[in-house]
Amino acid sequence: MLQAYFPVFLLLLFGVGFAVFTMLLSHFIGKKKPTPVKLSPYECGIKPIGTARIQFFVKFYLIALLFLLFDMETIFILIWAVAFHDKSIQVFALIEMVVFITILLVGYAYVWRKGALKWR
Amino acid sequence: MMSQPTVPQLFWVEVAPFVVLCIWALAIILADLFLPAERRRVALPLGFLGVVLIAYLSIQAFEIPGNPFGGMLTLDTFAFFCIVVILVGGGLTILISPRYVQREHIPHGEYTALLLFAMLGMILLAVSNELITLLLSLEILSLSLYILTGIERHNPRSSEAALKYFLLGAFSTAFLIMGIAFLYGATGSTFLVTIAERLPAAGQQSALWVFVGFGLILAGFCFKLALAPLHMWAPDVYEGAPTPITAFIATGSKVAGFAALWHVVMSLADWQAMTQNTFYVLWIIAVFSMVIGNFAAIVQKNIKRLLAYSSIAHSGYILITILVIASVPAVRTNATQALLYYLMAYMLMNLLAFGVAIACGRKGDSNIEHYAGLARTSPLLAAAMALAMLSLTGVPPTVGFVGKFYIFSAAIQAGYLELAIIGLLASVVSAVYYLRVIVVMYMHEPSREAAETAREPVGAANSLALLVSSVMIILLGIFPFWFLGLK
Amino acid sequence: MLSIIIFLPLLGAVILALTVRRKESTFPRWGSLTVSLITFILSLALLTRYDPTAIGFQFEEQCSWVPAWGISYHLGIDGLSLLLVLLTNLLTTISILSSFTAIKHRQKEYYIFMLILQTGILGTFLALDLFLFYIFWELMLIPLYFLIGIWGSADRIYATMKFILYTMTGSVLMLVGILMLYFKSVAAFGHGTFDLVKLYELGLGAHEQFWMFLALFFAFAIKVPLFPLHTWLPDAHTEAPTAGSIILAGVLLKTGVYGILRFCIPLFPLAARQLAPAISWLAIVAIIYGALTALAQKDAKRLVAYSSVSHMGFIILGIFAFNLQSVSGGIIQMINHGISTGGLFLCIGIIYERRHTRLMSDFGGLAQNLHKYAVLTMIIMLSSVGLPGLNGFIGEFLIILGVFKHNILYAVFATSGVILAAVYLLTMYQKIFFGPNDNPKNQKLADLRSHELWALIPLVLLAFWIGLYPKPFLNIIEPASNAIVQTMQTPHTSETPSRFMVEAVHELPPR
Repeated sequence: MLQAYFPVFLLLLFGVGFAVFTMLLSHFIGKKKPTPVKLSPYECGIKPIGTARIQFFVKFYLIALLFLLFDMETIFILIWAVAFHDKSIQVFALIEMVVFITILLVGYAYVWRKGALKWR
Repeated sequence: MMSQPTVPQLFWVEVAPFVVLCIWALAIILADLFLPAERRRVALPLGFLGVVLIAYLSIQAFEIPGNPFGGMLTLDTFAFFCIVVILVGGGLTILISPRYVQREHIPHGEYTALLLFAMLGMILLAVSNELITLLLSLEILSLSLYILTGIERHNPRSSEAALKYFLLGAFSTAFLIMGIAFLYGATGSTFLVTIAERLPAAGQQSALWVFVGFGLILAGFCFKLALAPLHMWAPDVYEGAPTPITAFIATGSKVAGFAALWHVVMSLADWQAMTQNTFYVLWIIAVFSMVIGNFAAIVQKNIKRLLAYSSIAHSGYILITILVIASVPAVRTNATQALLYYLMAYMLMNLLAFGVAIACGRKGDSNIEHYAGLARTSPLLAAAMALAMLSLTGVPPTVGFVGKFYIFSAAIQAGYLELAIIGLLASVVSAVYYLRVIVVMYMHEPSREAAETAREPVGAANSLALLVSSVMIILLGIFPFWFLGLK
Repeated sequence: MLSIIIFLPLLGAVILALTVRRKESTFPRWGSLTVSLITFILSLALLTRYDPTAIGFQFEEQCSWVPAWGISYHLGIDGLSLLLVLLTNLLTTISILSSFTAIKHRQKEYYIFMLILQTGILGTFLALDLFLFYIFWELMLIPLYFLIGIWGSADRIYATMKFILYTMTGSVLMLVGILMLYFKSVAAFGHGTFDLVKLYELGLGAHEQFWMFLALFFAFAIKVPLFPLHTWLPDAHTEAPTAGSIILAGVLLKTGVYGILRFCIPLFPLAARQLAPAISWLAIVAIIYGALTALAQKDAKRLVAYSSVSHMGFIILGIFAFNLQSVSGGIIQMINHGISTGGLFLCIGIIYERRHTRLMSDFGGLAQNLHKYAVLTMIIMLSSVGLPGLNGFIGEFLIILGVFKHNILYAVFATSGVILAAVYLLTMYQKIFFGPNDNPKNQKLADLRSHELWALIPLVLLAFWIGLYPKPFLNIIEPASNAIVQTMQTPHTSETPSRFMVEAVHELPPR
């Protein structure tokens, strides 16, 4: 059963391997001439103010969470779309998806009306 | 490669309770969004109406027992009973809520909708006959309860409770999932019926996996049901959560959790190799829960913490029935009845106790000392609380006594005399703290402050809930055959 | 009839709870007095219609209650329970009467609890179904818990918790015993039953009997209380309000003995015989220990409480000698103890209400100005000592006579208890009533008021009646004690032990 996943494994191996390989390569063959300017922290060309460990505005988390939630649902829809070609379940699957999207929409309406999308 | 997906046959009547409950909760969210602020209070009455409607639909569904959703749910007498108990519990919880929600400025719409979602999770959990469904309904239930626990956002205790509940709950869910994976690995199915069929043929290797899987699932349930040694979260969560939600966590999730555990155990219980091995594990958990719960409750000063420890102890008593079911097939029917009766009894007495706690509670405070002289200032509330305490102790003629009688008679019938004696002696220990509440109410003088400040009125809904549960506690205690007639 | 007697007080309690609103109303006391008096009169009517020569239980009532478990609502009465019912109703009436002035706050609740307590006790004596019995047994615990806890004296909460925890420990073990018995009946009859009359026919092996006997006996022994399970009693008696002490000593302790006579011995005769020596020795220890401890008390109520331990030891000793005199003596001594100890608590309560102290050293020379009180107290005290001509003598004499036939050594020890009783009770009387009346607070005490007098007089009359002409009482008791004796004497196999409970009544010796 696991053999069916072998291509996925290969892809994983290749993806990780490529990243590691390039980083190692640049590490070993690149020249290193450190100067104080080069070693200083770099933030869009401007000297950093304060430390990097600051509190983020909570709004960022909210947006991130909402993004995550609605993004995750897409994964479900993807799988559903793959199975949809099967003629015998099409009507049923369509109803199921309508139910799913409706629930999602209620959630969306909730988020909207509560003002979570406004940047106050 | 893959089996062809088939469209499950759906009978509207069978699935109506679940579907309508979900729609109802969504509708309440929407209504709350678009109603003007001053009319949002209708959410709670609407929620209660929903519960009544669902109860009606469930009775309709019970006319045709079956296995809707492709056999993932089982609608039989057991399921029906659990649904009714959960609905009664949910209905009473809604009834005891209004004043509290008003007082603590909790948003009505979210509160009601989440309560309904939690109930949906509970009734699905109680009737699910398949492990993934079980897991999903457990998650619906848990997620709703996590949010409800933390819904008093201005109260740091509530947030703390929610965080603890969530972190530990998520942890225990991981155990549950792992256990389900093991069971699936060993038997190749997530349907409990199929698992039960395939078990006898399981080889040595698979048997080990089943044990590990069951152990992990048991650990997950131990957390949800607040059984020792995974009970640590209960006191903090019970204390921090809004009081009606505490009541709901204590009652509804326990009913649903034990029902689900019953399904799992029943599917494994016929397998000979299982009985001996689970026996000791369950024995230790039950005894530890009874002993730890009862002894720790003695020193509590807060009524909610006290009831939390008492709920640990009660889970221990109830686990005895599961233990009997798992190990002695001959007593299985009796033990199942005992389980159901006790769940119902436990729900009624706990809701009564919490109902009184809400009625006499002041903002953010539930110290037992504040009940001093309650018998003088509001005799009816004191009487209701005394009834709840006596019933929790197991004094006849209350529902608590019949419940204990039922459980321990099942234990003795199964030959676990030592378990019955330990349990009964533990319940004598419980008398110390239950009766202390009565001592404070009846035998201490009211503080001057309490005597002077008039209590806020209890409210019609809460009074109704208290009345209904008091009457049922006594009536079902005197006439237990009303219940027995059901089976 | 029996149901009416049991539930009339409860009905009265409900009516009281629903009607009275005003705090100062005198309706609760008069209402509850009326209810308990009616109950008493009803039980007297029962006495007139009771046939002492008939076999088995009379006035039986039975209807199915929880058929699935073989539980029925089964009541019935025999000589033993008849007398105890009469005693209960009498003492409840008297203690309600005695509370008229003693209870000043929260009167309504007080009388409600008194009436519920009466229902609980009556039910305990009349139930012939073990489940029903257990329910009443627990039911009588709760009101007493409130009575001691709310209206008791300084240390009341400690006392009431101790009392309830001791009794509950006993009762849960009894529950285990009852359930074991139930499942034995399932095995024997095919369907379980809690019905006592059917359970009498259950043949049990000696080993099974042993454990079930212990489980039930433990609960009853706590209630009696038998040494060394007696430690709750002095606290509970001392801290309880007067009426509570009267009921506690007069009736509640008897439920323990009643349980032993009704359940332990007839159901488990083999075990009873096997354990009789051990129990007898415990009873002897109780007699002497109780008496010696009483001798050392400074608090009058505590002294009487310890005397109860000693007297109850007598009763247990008599019962476990298993002959006609000793068992009859034990039963009549139950009634006597109810009269005399109840009376003594009443007397102490009267003086406590006036002076709010129970220490004997605070009194002295009361006989000089409280004439009626001194005389009545003396009669009751002497009845407790066992002076011939008064009721205590009859019981003690019968017990010692019977025990002497059974085992001379026991009788010798028991007799020493009688002598010690005379010592401590007379000392108490002397300290309170004789000597100089030098405490100014004691010099202006009022003598008995009318309701106190009316509460004491029936007890005194009964003391004389039983002491001088005990025959009517013995006639009622004899069939019951005969049945016990027959059960124990017939050498039986383990198959058919308790038939004799029923058959014995057929073979009554002609009187």
